[in-house]
Amino acid sequence: MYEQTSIMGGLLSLLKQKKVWPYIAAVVVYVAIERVSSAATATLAASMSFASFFILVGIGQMLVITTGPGNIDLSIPYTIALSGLIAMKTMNEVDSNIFIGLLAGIAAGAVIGAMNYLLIRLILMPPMIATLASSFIVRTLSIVWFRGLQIKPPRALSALVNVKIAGFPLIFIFAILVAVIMAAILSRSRYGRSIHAIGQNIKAAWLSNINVMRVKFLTYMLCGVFAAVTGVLLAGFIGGATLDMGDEYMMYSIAVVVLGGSSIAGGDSNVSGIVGASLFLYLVVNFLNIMGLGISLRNIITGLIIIAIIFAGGDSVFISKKR
Amino acid sequence: MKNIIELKDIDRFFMQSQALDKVSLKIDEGEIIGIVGHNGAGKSTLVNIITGTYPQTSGELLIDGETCANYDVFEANKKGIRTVFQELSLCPNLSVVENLRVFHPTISGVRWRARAAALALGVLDSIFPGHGISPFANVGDLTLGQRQTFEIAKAFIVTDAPSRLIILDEPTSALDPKMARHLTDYLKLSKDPKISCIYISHILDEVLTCTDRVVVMKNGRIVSILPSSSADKQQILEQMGSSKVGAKKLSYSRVPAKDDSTSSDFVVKPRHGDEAACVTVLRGEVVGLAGLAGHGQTSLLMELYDYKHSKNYIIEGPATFIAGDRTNDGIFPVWSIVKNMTTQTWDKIRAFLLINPQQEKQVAEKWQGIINIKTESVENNILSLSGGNQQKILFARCLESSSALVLMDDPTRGVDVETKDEIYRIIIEAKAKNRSFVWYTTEMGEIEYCDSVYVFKAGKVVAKLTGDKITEEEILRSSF
Repeated sequence: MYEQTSIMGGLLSLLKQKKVWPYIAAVVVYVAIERVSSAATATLAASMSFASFFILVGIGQMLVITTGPGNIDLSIPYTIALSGLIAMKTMNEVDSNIFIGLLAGIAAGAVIGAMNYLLIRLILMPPMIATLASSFIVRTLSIVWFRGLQIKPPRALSALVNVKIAGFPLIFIFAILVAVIMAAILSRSRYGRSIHAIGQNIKAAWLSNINVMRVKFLTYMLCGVFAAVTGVLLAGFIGGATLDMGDEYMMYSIAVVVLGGSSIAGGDSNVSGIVGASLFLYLVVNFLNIMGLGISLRNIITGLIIIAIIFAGGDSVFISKKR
Repeated sequence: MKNIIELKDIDRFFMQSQALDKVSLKIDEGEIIGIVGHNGAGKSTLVNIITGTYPQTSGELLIDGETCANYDVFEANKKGIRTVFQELSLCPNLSVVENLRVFHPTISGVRWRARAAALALGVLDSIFPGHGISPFANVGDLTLGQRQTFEIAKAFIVTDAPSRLIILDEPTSALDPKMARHLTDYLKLSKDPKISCIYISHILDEVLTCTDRVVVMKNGRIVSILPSSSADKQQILEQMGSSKVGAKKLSYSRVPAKDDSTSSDFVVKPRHGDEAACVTVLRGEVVGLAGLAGHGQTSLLMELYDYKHSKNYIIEGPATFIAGDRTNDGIFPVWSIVKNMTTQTWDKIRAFLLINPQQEKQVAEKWQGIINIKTESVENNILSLSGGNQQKILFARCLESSSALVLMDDPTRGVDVETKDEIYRIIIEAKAKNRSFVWYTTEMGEIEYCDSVYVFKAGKVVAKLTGDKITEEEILRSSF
């Protein structure tokens, strides 16, 4: 009897944590997929692969959002595209160039991130406008330099990102590893504590001898790097870098952060929630696919689900704890 | 003469602390009352009760001899009570006439701008000749002084809403002497004889010249009400100060005033050797910054804090900063007590690159013992603590850092007496360990714990007091 209540109590306290909900939702959707599809396991594996990209991009976006109200990176889609294109061009379909190509892509992401913060800091633009403006520049550069062509990845890269270990996609394992490392950094490193402090109370952070400028600069740069890594892996996964390959990440990068239980007002992050939310969102996309719904209906339903979940978890997500 | 407002035995408590103590006051129609008193004497609380910002805890407020049920800001407005705030309340993105319409919505219809302009100019010209304000200019483009003149004039502009009692809270703080003179002349000589005023200012001469009676406040009480024409400035200053500081609860011995040229262990010293107008801080010294609020004390703290960019001082930085305005400058509201306490200690509790949670908790529990924080667990959210306990966390945060210099921006603001004594004890103990403090305080009792006190006026140091010269009377004399 006593044991039973303690288990119930444990379950209840678990349910009170917002980061648990995306996982529960993911399981529900998976069960639904099993009902309607005979290839549920394959669907799950594919969802994990695509969810990996959501996770990587989402972590970058979360870092930026955590630095406080108004901070957001809307240049992620075009950073993904430009970095992927530059990396594939550098690799030039030669296997031995993969590493240098990856570095080139990461460098591009870092430069875009740095440019974002410089616009925000030096011209005092609101982050939303600054990152949108720089994304126009980035997109135009992509068009001018690569003329809308698809640039193929080296064979070894494609093979690598499609490897499965014990049924789990390698990139999913990679994304989980990155998430674990980032979770430790966020909760226990000087940098992680700093971005949370800045996001909660920027003036108090400055008065606590935190170098606010340096931390935010690093954060926008890291977000660019995460997008760049995603761009390279995505190009390998889908068989080539294209101009529009990052487009859907504008919405999803923000959605996984919010669904994962991070505070949109900053100062309160949640890495594990992002993993759950990414899995859930991609499973939903797949489920609607299997149901044979057209893309417009799919998008509408995805939008509604996001609204519904944010509404359900409203108290922790929308109400800023900073008064 | 009939009185328009009467206060009877008004008490006002904020939690346990009493801000007003049996305050009774009558204001006659057309009368100008001056209110003087030191910071925290209860002037603002009294004004806020008259304007209906918050209710009194007990006592009666009568307007035209009638008690007002459900008295609040809107009710006060209807009765014709208007306030000119020290913090300007104009919208900088709107023009002068547009701002006027915000407060007088009845100015409307075709050609309202022209009528508003005529109204504004009429009053401005009569109070402040030569004001130089265009009624169509954006308020944001006016100088601070011009904005203040318009703010004042606005209160005297009458449309259909009555204007019967105008409260002027430090109205001349942003005015140059000529404009200030225009205002006092206007009040004395040519204002509408039916309008009453409450005039609050730290500038005593100004209050005495333009008011009929002056109310002296101290510690939430009205000490005396004197006719302005015969009041003696010296006498008022004495009444404003606390009679004698009571028995000291903590023993504290001042560092004997050293000859600055012989001792060289400076934590803060002037960059250009301009000793007279600058602050110096020795190791293990507690330096007080006194004077009226907003006369440059906080700017000095900020300059000392931003030590790499300080133009006037050489500072042994980085300093650590204890905020008085906890919510805005100190607390991280999402975090636990532990995390709030260790923000300046990360390097000490790190193993390799990551903070060690056990070590972090040990630090917090050590301080919990030292400073007596009332909580079940240091893992609780910081907001679960009372304000005073939150303030103690900020002290722990700063004292756990290795900074030699601790800057304090009125750190006992809104803290109860018991916690204050604890804070003084913490400071004395830290001082014994060779910490230096720069302490901006608005509370006169706290100068007892300072080794030297600098008095500020208009952004500058006007007096340096040491040893026995550190008295309330000396500080008041230098501040006014």
